Amino acid sequence: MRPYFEKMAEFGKPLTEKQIRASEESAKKIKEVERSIEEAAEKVRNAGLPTETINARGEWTVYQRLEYLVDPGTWCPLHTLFDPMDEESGTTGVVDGLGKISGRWAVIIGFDNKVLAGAWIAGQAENILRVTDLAKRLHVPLVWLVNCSGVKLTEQEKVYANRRGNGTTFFRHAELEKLGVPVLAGIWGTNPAGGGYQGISPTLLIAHKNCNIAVGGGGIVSGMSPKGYFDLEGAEQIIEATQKYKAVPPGRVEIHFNETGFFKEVHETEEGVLDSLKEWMKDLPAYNPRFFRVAEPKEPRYSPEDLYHLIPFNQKASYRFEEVLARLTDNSEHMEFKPDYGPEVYTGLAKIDGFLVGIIGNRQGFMPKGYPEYAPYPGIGGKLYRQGLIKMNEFVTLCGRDRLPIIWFQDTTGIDVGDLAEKAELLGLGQSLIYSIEQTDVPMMLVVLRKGTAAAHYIMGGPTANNHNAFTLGTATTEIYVMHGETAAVAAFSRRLVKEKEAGRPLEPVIERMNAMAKQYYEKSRPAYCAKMGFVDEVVPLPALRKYMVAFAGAAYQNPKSICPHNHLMLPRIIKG
Amino acid sequence: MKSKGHGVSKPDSREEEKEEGLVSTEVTAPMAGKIIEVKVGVGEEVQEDDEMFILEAMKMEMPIVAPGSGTVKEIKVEAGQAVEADQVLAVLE
Repeated sequence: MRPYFEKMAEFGKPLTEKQIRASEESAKKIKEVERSIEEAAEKVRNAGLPTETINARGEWTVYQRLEYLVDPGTWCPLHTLFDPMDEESGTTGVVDGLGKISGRWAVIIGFDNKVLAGAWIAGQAENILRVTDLAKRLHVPLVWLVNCSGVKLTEQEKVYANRRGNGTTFFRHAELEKLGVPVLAGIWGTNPAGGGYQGISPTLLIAHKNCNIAVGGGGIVSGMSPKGYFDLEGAEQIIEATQKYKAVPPGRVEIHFNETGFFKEVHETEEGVLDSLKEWMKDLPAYNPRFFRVAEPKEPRYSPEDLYHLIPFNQKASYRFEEVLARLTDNSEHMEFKPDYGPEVYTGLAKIDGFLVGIIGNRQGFMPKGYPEYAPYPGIGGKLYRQGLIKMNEFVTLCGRDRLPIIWFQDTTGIDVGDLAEKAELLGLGQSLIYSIEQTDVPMMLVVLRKGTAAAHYIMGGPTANNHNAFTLGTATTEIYVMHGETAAVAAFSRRLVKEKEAGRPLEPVIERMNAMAKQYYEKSRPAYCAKMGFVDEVVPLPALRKYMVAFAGAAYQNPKSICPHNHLMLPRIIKG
Repeated sequence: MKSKGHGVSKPDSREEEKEEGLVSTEVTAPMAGKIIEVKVGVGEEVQEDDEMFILEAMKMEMPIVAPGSGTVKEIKVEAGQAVEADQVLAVLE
């Protein structure tokens, strides 16, 4: 099969000076948004106590631990701006992403010990759930940097209970282990109650000499009041008990290394714990990448910086999807599947760091005359029509058969609507795509390049509608909403306008409400908002897209649950004919 | 001229043979809409896929590209003008 992959068809063209000049303004606006995202990320990184305060205690922050642990240049942060419940710290209290440790991909997450000593805080449970799902989907080790003081007691109702509350993590670890995915943990600091289970639930525990993990902490041991209320006498009793227990927190190294043996190892220093994690990672299953690579890795022939000049900031302006893809794929090569069918959608094979992946994306601009074939109106890119939906169903199904991870790119205004679209079975074909995706059981990632709208956002590999989306990236031009705000305002207020007009009443109040709705839709679909609410898992600068795609492909092929030998792949043969 | 599905459909164009053996190609609008930008001038050399106009239609602003290489002989529309499907926008030589 080497002849299929060694040299695929090249695509893409260099940018012309004219194109660069014409897109300068747009590039500037994109970079402005990226700068504001980075400023917000910096604020998150600085949340809680200053680094110097943590270091003065002889401890490292989670960021320092990550910097030491992760192979340089491989860190792909996720959920940086995730804060769906508006926690007062502006964070979910965990820092996570994909990165290599000792040359192997892992999903890595740590408690931010600057924020309430790594407490369980609002929004964190959902963040952790996405991380355990990521490890499950990619079938790579989960590595924890545990430093968890337990529930933020003033807001226990936001974190403790509920089907998806913080305790979910513990059975998610058990689930990962059932599936053969190991969970490694470095443990620092005081970890009582929830922190204790955070510490005990991983597969392998590597402890710092000063850490402890326990069912309950010193505060709980001394806190119960027999009177049912607190008074001065009770307060004095609590003070005496706390002073005693504070000095000797339960679950220290002398118990959990010497007595129970829960701690596999104990280390004197921060570096010691992290070096041990690096060593253990070398023992975990990982194919040598050459086993699955179809060709030697190559950088794209065009610079990823070109993307600033290819993707218009103006959402109405169109662009060539192939030019974008040529900046992201190995040597800017591909094999397109059914180019003459369903032209509004690109489907094809490409190499990412030498690994074969399926790529699906929306095309923009005019469609050929007479398309869609079932309607008298012209087709435009961004919309989905019958052939495009059928093609995606076929391509996804074949990627499943060939065990190819899929990378989706969305810039869609939705599926075609109206009686003609209904007669063309678009409702059924859209759901069929969800069904097809579910049957594949291959890892997927999604890039919402610009618009993610309506059901099209769901069915094109979106995180809402399948089990296989590992993570979703946004860009400075991402906007996600059920429909455009102006369309929503018309839908919501058109009858009211008619009523007011017929009654002879002024229209201005309704118009004001329509404008307010459109404005609200705009504000709640910006990239930063999408990241805050988790519509996307991270907003990344355009040139960083390739790095995340490399991480995804590398992780997906590191220890896959099922294999299709290169000699038995059907998609390349179907494309060649 | 029909698209091979490479992203941006080339507009339908009509060709006429002239006495000197040169071919004139009419560049037409693929659908009704409004011309919001004219990106070329008379006498300008264009290559295949060079953007010649931006047409606003169905809430999108889509480029109309040159169907082949040639020289812009005539521009028949201006920015802000509404056009019908198949209306001739320019002539290439």
